[in-house]
Formats: sequence, C-alpha cells, structure tokens
Amino acid sequence: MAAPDRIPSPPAHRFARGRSRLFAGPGATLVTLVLLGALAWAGWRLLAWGVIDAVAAPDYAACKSAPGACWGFVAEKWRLIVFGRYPYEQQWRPALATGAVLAMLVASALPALWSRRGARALALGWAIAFALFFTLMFGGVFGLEPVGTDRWGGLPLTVILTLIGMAASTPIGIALALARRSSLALLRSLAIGYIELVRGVPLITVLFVATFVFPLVLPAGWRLDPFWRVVIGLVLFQAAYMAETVRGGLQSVSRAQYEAATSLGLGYWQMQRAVILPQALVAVIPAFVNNLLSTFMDTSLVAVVSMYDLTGSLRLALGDPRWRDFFIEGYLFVGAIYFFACFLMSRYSLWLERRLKIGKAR
Amino acid sequence: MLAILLARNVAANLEARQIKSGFDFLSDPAGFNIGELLFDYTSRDSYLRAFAIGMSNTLRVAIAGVVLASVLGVGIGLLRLSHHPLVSGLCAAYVEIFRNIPLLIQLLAIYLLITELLPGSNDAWSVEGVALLSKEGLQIAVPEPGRLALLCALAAFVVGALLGRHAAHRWLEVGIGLVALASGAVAALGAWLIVGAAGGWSRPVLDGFLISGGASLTPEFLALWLGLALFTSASIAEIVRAGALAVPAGQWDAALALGMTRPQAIAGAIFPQALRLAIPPLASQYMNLIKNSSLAVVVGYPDLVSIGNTSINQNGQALEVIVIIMAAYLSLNLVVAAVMNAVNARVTRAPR
Amino acid sequence: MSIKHSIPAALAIAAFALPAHAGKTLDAVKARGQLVCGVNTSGPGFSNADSQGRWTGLDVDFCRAVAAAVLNDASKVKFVPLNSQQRFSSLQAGEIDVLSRNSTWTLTRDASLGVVFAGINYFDGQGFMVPKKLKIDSAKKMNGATVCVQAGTTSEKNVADYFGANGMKYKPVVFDTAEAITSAFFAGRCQVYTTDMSDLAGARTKAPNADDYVILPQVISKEPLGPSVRRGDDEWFQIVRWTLFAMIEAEENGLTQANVDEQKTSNKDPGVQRFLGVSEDTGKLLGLDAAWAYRVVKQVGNYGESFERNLGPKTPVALPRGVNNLWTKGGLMYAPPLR
Repeated sequence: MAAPDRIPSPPAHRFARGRSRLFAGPGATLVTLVLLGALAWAGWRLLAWGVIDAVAAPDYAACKSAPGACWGFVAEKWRLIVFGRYPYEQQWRPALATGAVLAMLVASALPALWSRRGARALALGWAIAFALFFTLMFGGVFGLEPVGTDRWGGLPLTVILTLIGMAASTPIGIALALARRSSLALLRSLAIGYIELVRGVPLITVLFVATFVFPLVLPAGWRLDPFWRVVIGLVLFQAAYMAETVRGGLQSVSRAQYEAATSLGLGYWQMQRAVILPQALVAVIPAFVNNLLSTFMDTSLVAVVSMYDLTGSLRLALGDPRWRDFFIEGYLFVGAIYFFACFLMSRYSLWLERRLKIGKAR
Repeated sequence: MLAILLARNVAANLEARQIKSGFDFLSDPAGFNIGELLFDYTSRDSYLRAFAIGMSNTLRVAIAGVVLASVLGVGIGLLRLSHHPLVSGLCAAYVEIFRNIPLLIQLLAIYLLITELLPGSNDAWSVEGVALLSKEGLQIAVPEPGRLALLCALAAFVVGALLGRHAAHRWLEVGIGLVALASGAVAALGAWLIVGAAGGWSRPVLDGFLISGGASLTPEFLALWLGLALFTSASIAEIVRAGALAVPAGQWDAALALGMTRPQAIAGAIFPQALRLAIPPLASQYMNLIKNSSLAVVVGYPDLVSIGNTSINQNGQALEVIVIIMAAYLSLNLVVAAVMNAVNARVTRAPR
Repeated sequence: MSIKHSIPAALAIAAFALPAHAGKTLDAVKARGQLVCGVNTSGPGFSNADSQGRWTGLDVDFCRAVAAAVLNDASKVKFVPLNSQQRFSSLQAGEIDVLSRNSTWTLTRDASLGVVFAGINYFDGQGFMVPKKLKIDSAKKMNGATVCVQAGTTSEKNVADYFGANGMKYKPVVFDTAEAITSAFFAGRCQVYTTDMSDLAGARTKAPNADDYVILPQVISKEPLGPSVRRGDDEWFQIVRWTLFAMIEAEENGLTQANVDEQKTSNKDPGVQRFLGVSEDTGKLLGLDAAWAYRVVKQVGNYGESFERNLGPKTPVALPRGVNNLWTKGGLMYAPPLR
C-alpha cells in the first residue's frame, strides 16, 4: 500500500468528522442521501399528523373529522389513565403520594447522599414517604375518605408495586444469595432450587399462583386482598433475580476480605454486615438499577390479573366505545411515559457505572 | 416446617371445598375448541391433547421469534458499529425505543394496529393468488402436499448448508458460516417451489366472507411474533455490539491491514469472534423470549398458558395445571440451555 | 427448613390477612357489618359501575337485598368486580360472601368447584351477534366463521358443541377480558360474537354504531344465571336462597317498594302477613329477625321492580321479560312458599 503524501490532520471541528463520514465515499453519500430523504419525509408526515392537523381539545366531533392526531382523547381520559379508578375528586391524594415517593427515589439517586449520615437520612425519608403514601392512598384517618386497594390504579399503582417489589425483594434476595453460598448442603440446595425454579418460569405463572393458589394455601376463612397477593407474587419473583445480582457482588469481593475478617475474630453475621455485604452491594449498584428497571416494566403484567396499573387503565379508557378509534394516541401517551422513565433509569445506570469505576482506587 | 403447614392447609381447603385433585382430569374430554392447530384436535379430545396443542403453539411462536429476533438483532447490532452517524444513530434509537417500552404495551399496540387498521377480509390487500393480508391475518399459498413440502425444504436446507460450507472452505477464509446459511436457505426455497410446482398450490381465496385455502398466520400469531421479535432484537443488538466492542483492538487493526474494508472486517473477522463472547448472554435472551411468549393470553393466541387458563376455569384444578405449565417452561429452559452450551463449546474450541 | 424463608412469608400472611370464623359466613358478615359481593367488572343491566363508582344492575340489587335481610341496610355492601377467571376462585377462597355475577348454573360448577348455586335470577340462553353487512340470517349459516369468545365461560364449551352438532367448522379467538373481546369484535377481527343473550344486548349498547349489528334469534343453550355461595355453609346458603325467593314471592303477592308499608297494616291475607313478619317470625329459622323479607321489599323492591329498573324497556339494554316473568304470567319465576 503506497504511503500517503502527508499525514492527514484530524478535522478541527467536532462535527467535521461526522460530516466527513457522512460523505466519505460514493456508498456513504448515497446512504446519507437516502436516509436523510426518508427521515425528512417521515418527520414531515409525523409533524403533520401529530401537530399541525391534530386536535388538542377533548372535542369528539372535531377529532372524528380531523385527519390528524386526536390528543383530545388524552386530554379527556388522562386522569383515568394516570390514576385508574381512584375516585375523581380524591385524585390529589395519589398525586401527592406518588410525588412523595418519587422525590425520595430521586434523592436516593444522588451519590452525594451516600455517606453514613446520608444513608440514615435516606432511610428515615423512605420510611416517612411510605407511611405518607399508604396513609394518603388508604385514607380512613384524618378525615380522608377510605379508598380500598381495588380502586387503586394507574401510575401510583405502577410506582408502588415497583418500589415495594424492590424494597421487599432485596432482603430476601440477599438472604437467598447468602444461603446459596452457604456451607450447609441443605440450605444451599434449597436456595438453588428456589432461584432456578423462579428464574425459569414466566412472571405470568407466578401471578397465576398468587391469584389461584395463595387462597388455597391460607387457613380456611383467612382472606388476602388481591393487591397484597400480587405484591407477594412480584416480590417472590424479583427476589430470585435479586439473589443472582447479589451473588455476583459477593463473588467480586476478594477472598482476602473474608480471611481478614475472620482473622479479626468477627462472627459470620458480623462479617457479613460490616465487611462483605457493603462491598458486595456497592459493587452491584448498576445491576441493582437494572433490576429496578425490569421490575418497573414487569409491573405492566398485573393487567393480566385484572389490576388496573398504567397499562390496565389504558385498556379501561379504550373500552369507551366513542374514543376507541384513537387507540394510537393512547398507546403513544402511555408508551411515552414508560419510555421516559425507563430511559432515564438506564442512562442513570450507565452514568453510575462510569462514576463508580472512576471512584475505585484500585 | 412451614412447607408442611402450608401443604396441610392446601389439602384441608381442597377437601372442604370439594375440589377434585390429582392428574386424572388429563384424560377427560376438554370440551373447548382451539383456534390454531398444528395437528388435529377437536373439543372431544382430552385435556392432555389440548395441552400438547398449547405446547406446540408455544414452540411455534418461540422458534419463529428466536429466528426473527436473531436476524434483526444481529443486523442492527452490526449496523450500530458503522461509522456512518445516521446509520448508527438510527440503530441506537431503535434499540432504546424497543428496550424501554414494556413488552405488554408493544404487543397490545401491534395487535390493535393489525386488527383495526388492516382491511376486512372482503377488501384484503393481495398479491394475486399468492398472499392475502387482512384482519384475518396473513394467508399465503402453500404447496398442496404440505408436510412433504416442509420435509423436503428442511432436507434441502441441511444439504445446501453442508455443500455451501464445503465450497466456502475452499474459496474463503472467513464468513464461512454466513455463506453456509445463505446457501441452505436458497436450497430450501428451491425445494419448496419445486414441490409446489409438482404437487399444486393451495391458494387462499375469498369464499363469501371467509378466506379458505393456503396456510394462515393469524393476527394473534403475527402480533405475538412481531412483538417478541422486536423487543428481544433490541437486547440482542446490544449484546452483539458489546461483544464486538470487546474484541481486542488488534483484531480490527489486523483486518484493516489485510486490506478489508470496514464492513468486510466486521462481517468476516469481528462478528465470529464477537459471537463467541455473546453466546451466554444470547442464551439468556432466548430463554427470556420463551418466557415472554406466555403473554400470548393477552392477544388471544392459544399458547400453553392460555389453554391452561381455560382449563383452570373449566375444572377448577388450578394447582395441577400450574404445575404442568411450570414444568413445561422449566424443561424448555433446560433444552435451550443445553443447546446453547453445546454451541458455546463448539464455538470456543481452539481456533482453526 | 430455613427460617429466612418462613419469616417473610409468615409476616406477610399475618399482616394482611383478616381471620374470620371458618364456615360461619353469617357471623362473619354481621361482625364485619358489611356484605362483600362479587359482581361483574362490567355487565350493563346486571352489574355496572358508573364513573362515580355507583353500582347498579339486577345482580347488584340482589346483593343489596341480601344486605337488607342480614344487616338491615341495603347500602352496606362492598362490591368486588371479578373477571370470568377469578370469580369462582374468589368465592372458594372466602374473599367474597356471595357471587352475584350472571354466572350459569351447571353440574360441573355445582359439583366440583366447591360452590353451590342458590337459585336462578335470570333465565338466559346463549346466542350470536353478527355484523349486518355479512348478511347472515341464521346461526346455521356460519360455517368456517371466526368466533370471538371469552376464556373460562360456558360459552366456549357450548359453541364447540353447537358447531359440532351442526357439522360446521369455526375458528375460535379466545380473549381474557370482555373489553378485549368487544374491542376485537367491533374492530372486525371476528365475524361472530357469542355469549349469553343478555350479555350480547349489553355489549351492543357499547357498539360505536349499534344498528350495524344484529343478534341472531337462535338460542343454542340453557343459561340459568344465578347467585352462588361457598359449599359447606348451609345456614348462609339458606339465607341467600330464600332472599331470592322472597323477591319473587313479593311480586307474586303484589308487594312493591311503594306499597309495602301500607300493605303491612292493611292487607289481612295470612300469606302476606307471614311474609312481612307480622303474624309469624320466619326469619328466626334462618338466623335473621322477623322483618327480613319486609326490609328486602322496602329497600330494594320485588323481582319485577328490579328487572324493570335494570333491564326494562326504558333502559339501554331493554330486554323483554319473556321467560323471566312470573309463572302466573307464563314465565318461569316461581318461589316456594315462605312458610
């Protein structure tokens, strides 16, 4: 290969490199032109449908006659979709409750608060947020009208299922992971059995177990709210996946740590609490966030067992015969909510991963 | 201790409510019909046969889903590596969109799009005599001796792949696998057309308000297949990309130094090595796809879970049916894990 | 067995389950002060909630009647909407006291699901609804059709039997919820929708254009709809059963919500006096007080009034009384005497 006449200098401007790649050769130029053309056409059509010809007011007649999107459907039904069948006038309660827990979620995401004092403050904050959530949602005290769990729905339901799922499955998952590494053969095989069983079956079957089998398992006459049954099902399901995540973390802690701890005379539980678990859990924080993400997406399945989470309440809203034709707008609305939340979480996870790598002194 | 207590409770409750238990119900007639059948079944057949149909439907959508998801995922993953900003940007957008929206929403949206926006069977979109697309689904013309055609196509695929591999060995250094697959596919298509030409075609025709003839892919199957494939392909694309990026930089330099263009380098040198790294995560994605196919009950596709659901309602024996369903999925997982382990072992042999 | 596994499970169960006396539903209902009634998630005319959460319907009225009889107040009912898959398991599990959800009384359900049917409050049959533009005028001309049917209902089995008996083939499309079915049917996914005639009438009220659909006249099965209770509690079973009979007998005796107070004092017919608890206490035998039947009529009305209010000609559903009329008027509603 002939040597070039001179060494090509790197392009000065950031976009110059991109620009040069767009038109790097005849093939690339062709691809660029075709794609730009297609994108422009699609973008224009989307703009026309979604903005220019769209109807924003909840006016059924206008929506039927307009060629564009009917955002009026969203304007009309957004409260049913976002809050489910919660009584209309009381919907400030789920709004406030969800706001409180989401605020705590954001607060927990700030690494600045991950010191010893910060962790205590966070724990207190979470306890308050959960208490506030359940007080507001259940009602019955402070003059708030009681609202049963069968009326809970929409975004608050999705959020609380995710958070309880994570909060409850974490300790169980840690216990399972420790059991799996235990030296007691019975404990180890039971843990492995549980983890492999639950990870090998679809979430729907676990929800069916929760719906059909739990009632048979309880002593005669006891009754368990469908909401709590689904929560238990979700928690037991996520615990297995959490166990695998924690196991990865436990494996990453070097043997030297175990040896050092034992030589200091620490017992098993002391060692775990003070030395091993903190390192293991910090190591898997990004994976933990991924678990949060998948739990969030899994909550959409409760629509199959007749709980009206965000997806379920969308189907409820689309049951109205007049607005049935505008299902695209509805699905775009709900899809956008999920996308926004999940995208944020996955970006956060990536950012966290990079930050933790930089932080590691090793 | 707790387990014994729970078991005693279950037994006591079943007894008190006089719900039968035991697996004898499997030989009772099922009493319901199923919309999609790979082999014969009527409502007078046993529950066991109904479950077998459900299992076959699950396998059908799982295998089709795995194939489509892999093709899409590998394609998008490799395209993501392109230096062309638009191409890699579009692929990144694809991955982000399909990974961050729950599968249930995607399934429901696709199903609604198919059933609401496609024309009724009277005004179906058609390629004359070959295919019809309508709310009833996709109907395509198939050779009259259907099973024979399928067997011939399968045999031709194997023969074609082997021949292709042999030829590629002699002429090429890299990309042998792709050439073998391609030649197998061409041979299968050829065999299919030959059997059709010889035995006659069963064409879909509009008969009153029904479409008869040909083979049909129902909207339920299409929605489930597309939904699963799109969702899983996004994860597969990420895995392939991660695998490609994990290939040591030296390999890129070597390939480019040998005079390959970037696409050639990707296809011939990087991809096979990326595949080696990607097989374990790929295995777990395939298992996820199989588990996710249980959402079929939401779009009305009669897979194993859907039929199990109907059975529970007919005979009340929730425990037994759930055990059957779980056992089925666990065995499917084992099979996939075993197959992927074998592939992994083969691929990580010492390089030639 | 690992303690780590039992503690979370036990805590969860202990925290959220409410123990009640096993098998003694009446005591539990009285202690709770509220009747928990399983109804349909959406069944126009039978059990339907408006956007404010107020329930109306024939089945809803029946629940209120039981509450009036047992708790003296027809409003002390908690309605639990259940889909067709959960209804019987909810009842078996003890989450609801009575299932009043237009469910068909069949041998299989009576004998093997751990429930027992207390009576029939609507004689129905299964039928078919088709779009008018397909020009099908008889159920026998549906060979090869795609049929939408709901999972876990008697409709699935009946349609299989009917098509088999008439030598026709069909392709079922099975959905889990009524909303999914009506959505698919009105979108045109299937040519035929099959379920009980009363459900078809209700579904048609939800069509974007009800005139485009016709309900075929053929009735292919017997679907006696009625309330059911858990097996094993005879006392509760008697109460629920006789509440239904009280509503029918009230109509037989001409007692209405409006005139029952006046009839209490003026009507000297011994049957009526016994019914209203003036001359005899029939309630004592059921575990209730003397005025139980009086309260049912006063707070909810007789069967005919309930029918008129929910399914009558002034409602969107507008079903004819037909076989659901009193036996004295050519129908099948017949109550054993309350004595």
